Amino acid sequence: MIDQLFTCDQFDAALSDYLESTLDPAARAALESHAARCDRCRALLADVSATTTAAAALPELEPSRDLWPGIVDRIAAPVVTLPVAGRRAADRSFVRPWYLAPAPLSAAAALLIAATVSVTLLATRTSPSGPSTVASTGASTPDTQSVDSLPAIPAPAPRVKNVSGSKPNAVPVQQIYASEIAELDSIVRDRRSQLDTGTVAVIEKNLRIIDQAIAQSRAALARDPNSGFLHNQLNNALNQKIALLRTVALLPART
Amino acid sequence: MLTATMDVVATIPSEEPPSDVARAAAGDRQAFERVYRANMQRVFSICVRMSGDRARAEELTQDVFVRAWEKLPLFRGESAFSTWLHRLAVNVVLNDRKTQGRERSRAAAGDDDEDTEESYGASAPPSHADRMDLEAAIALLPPGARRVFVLHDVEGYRHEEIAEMLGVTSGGSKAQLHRARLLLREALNR
Repeated sequence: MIDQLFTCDQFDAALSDYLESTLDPAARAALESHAARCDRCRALLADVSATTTAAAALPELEPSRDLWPGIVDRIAAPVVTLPVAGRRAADRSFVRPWYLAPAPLSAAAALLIAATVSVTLLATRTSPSGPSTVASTGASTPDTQSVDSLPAIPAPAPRVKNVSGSKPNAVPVQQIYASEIAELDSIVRDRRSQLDTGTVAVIEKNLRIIDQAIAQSRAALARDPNSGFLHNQLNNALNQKIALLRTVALLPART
Repeated sequence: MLTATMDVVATIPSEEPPSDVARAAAGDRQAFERVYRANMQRVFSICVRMSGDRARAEELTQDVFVRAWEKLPLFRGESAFSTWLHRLAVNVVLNDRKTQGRERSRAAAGDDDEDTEESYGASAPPSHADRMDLEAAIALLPPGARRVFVLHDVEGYRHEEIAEMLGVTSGGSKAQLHRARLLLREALNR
């Protein structure tokens, strides 16, 4: 009956809906009836059905190399670990990140950022050629490695959430960021002549990239000030800049 | 603080070892490595099949996990972690396509959204009498058809979801899928 209305073209047009079970029962029966009588359409249905079945059962693939080292290089925490901070990092495994804490804690943490500047200054000035012991970067450096043997260097600047002007604590935090970056910039300028020129070139290149990211985030936030994603991007970029400047400030002088 | 800790752990779905996702969200890189090891193959598979390029897929897989590390503190458990990560992987691949598309000369032939059967035929010449396997045939599909096929027939997304991800209509997604299936049939039967 109905299947007599189905031509091969109509079969083709209805095939996808049939495979996805979105055809109504009458059309479904008509398509199956047509396929039973038409070699061409029966073969098409069999082939496409087999392909979709095989696609859904494709196995997972394996990369040709271990990708983890490349990942951990990119997510590595700031270079210098503070003894107390190191232990705290190990202890906070089950704890909500502090920067997700309520605003009062964020404000307190912002003050902590400012404190790192003066201690960084102290650390660099007490050793004119830079600190003698600096933790290495990379995957092989566990967060808590050698924490007891490291000098009393300030903890990395904590990550701060919501630094834009839309939050109650935003302006002070933003100012603290600016202040710390300015202080660290000053230290880095003073230390530049002590560092290898190749290292300086890499540092400057990375700072330019981070500055671009900061500028882009701020421009985007000007257009969309309530975007949580953009706030997070800006925070990440600012924290990256502080972490890089601190690292440079504490690098050993060239030999 | 204990209450906050319990909140985080409680939102982690049972399919993923709760402690590893929660620890990774709190900054534990060793836990994040375990999360990576547990999910790497699936993410890599999505990247390979959607990009059609194994070498690029390795870079994209790394990008996915770097992004996951950055965004994990924001993961609140509204969906299963694997679903969240899977969607993140798809977005990374799609954003890579957009970025690469901008960087390439738009004058070049074979733009993603203008791929043709001719380009498929030209890029997939059967070099021997053996039938091409499905994996290879998918890799050689035109990009637009390949993405829809992988998202729908391999990964199980619905047309409405694919349309939202790709910025096309649901009907456009259906048309690309139909086209992909016919091209695969042709390639597999050569």
